[in-house]
Amino acid sequence: MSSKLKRKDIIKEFENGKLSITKVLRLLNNQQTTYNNLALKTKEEPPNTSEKKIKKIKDRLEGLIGLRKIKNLVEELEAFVKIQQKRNNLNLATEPLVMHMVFKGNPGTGKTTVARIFGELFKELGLLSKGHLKEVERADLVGEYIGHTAKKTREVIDEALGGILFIDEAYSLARGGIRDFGKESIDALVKGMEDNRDDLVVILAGYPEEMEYFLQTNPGLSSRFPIKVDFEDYTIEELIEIAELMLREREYKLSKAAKNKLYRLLDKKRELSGPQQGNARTVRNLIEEAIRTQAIRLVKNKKILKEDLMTIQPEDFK
Amino acid sequence: MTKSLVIGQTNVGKTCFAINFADYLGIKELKFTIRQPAGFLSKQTYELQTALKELVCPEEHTTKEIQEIQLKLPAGKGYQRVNLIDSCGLIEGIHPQEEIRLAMAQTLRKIQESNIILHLIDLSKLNTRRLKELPELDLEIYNYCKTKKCYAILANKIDLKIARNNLEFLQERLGHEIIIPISALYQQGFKEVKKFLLKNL
Repeated sequence: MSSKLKRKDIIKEFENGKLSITKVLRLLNNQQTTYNNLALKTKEEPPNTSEKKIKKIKDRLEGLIGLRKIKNLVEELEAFVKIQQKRNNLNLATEPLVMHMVFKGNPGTGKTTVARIFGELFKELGLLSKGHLKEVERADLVGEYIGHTAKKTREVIDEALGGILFIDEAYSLARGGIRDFGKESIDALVKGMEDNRDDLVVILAGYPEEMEYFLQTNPGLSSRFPIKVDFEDYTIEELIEIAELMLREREYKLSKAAKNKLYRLLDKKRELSGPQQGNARTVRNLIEEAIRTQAIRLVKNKKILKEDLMTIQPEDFK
Repeated sequence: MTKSLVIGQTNVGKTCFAINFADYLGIKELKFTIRQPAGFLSKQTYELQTALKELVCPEEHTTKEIQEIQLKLPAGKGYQRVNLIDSCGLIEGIHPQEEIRLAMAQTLRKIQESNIILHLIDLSKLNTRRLKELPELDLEIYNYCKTKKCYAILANKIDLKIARNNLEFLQERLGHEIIIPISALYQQGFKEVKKFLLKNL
């Protein structure tokens, strides 16, 4: 330990007549206090810090628009974990804490964002050691020849250890025919989940219907993912809120007319292509495009006021 | 085996305390295991009175080697064993003799290894009228040891009049709880010391 070495050095210096004994004691004392503080930290973080962090994470989740069901789920999970931990401390029988999940929802409904939040939350609750998010899709898991898939999947799992393995479009693993190695990946995944059940959470995500079908045709899998979360499509009002949130973060705002135009735009998009296309991601694209269009519009003006710079007008939406 | 280290500045009465305390406990023969700073052990047996004559002496730095005395503290129906470790007196500043520096360094190491620390302070030397503070060295020893383990200050020489005023000052400054007033020479306060040791074994 580095602090013990220093102690030896300090005493050596004293023996060589370089330090007075009073100085030595003072040095040893300071060093000992720092050492003690470090030990406290590594052994057991005072509960306040974890609680504060958990509150911060939950606040972030609250800040997201919609997602009412997920917010309730988080409350449930947090309570469940804490109670099991309390029971464990009192030597009562505990439920196994299986946190693998299935996220069903259209693109742009917040699946990855929420997965990331879960990672951080689980770290603070003591369920995961690192709490990071490893996002993968089929191409990262499936190989081209026998044995390649298992290796690829194992490597991915290794990188995800201590955090969350987020598999997007998970159903694609089961799509191929006889010569497809998707199945091999599923087997390797299940084995990885078994071997690392203490420090890994796996989240399968994708379109609702496809995910349903995938789980039904792989019944063994379904039972391993006890938590199933539906990510509902945002209402258009919610999408407007998201748009305003995104703009606020960049210090822009929507004029009333622009807001109305955006509403009509989103409504039309939804009608045409359905919710598969009309979610938060679409909104972000629209916003970013509007920002660029606004720039082109304003740059022609001789006088540009601060108010102009901040406001998105209806003509900025094409 | 519980190790109890006796520590303090030079000539405060550490060796005097160790030998008298042994006498108080009824030990007739002292088997000293002397550990030379170089590392090897040598055993010597003294009769208690001889020990007093030869080892307790007014010249500075008489205890160069650390002496370890095995004590038997009567506890209940039997005994509790404690190793009392006398040490080389610590002196402020940088000492010119390497021999003495090595012996003092060994004392410092012993602080880490011991379970109980008995810090001897000479009450008669606390010049409280001139100094408003305790000697820096004793203060640093106090700071270093108080948090670690069982630690007590043996405030020595209470047989002297001047010592009693100084005792009050010391108690005010460092608190009543850790201070045990004693007279090593006249074996006063030894009951408290025995109690303290037994409590912390």
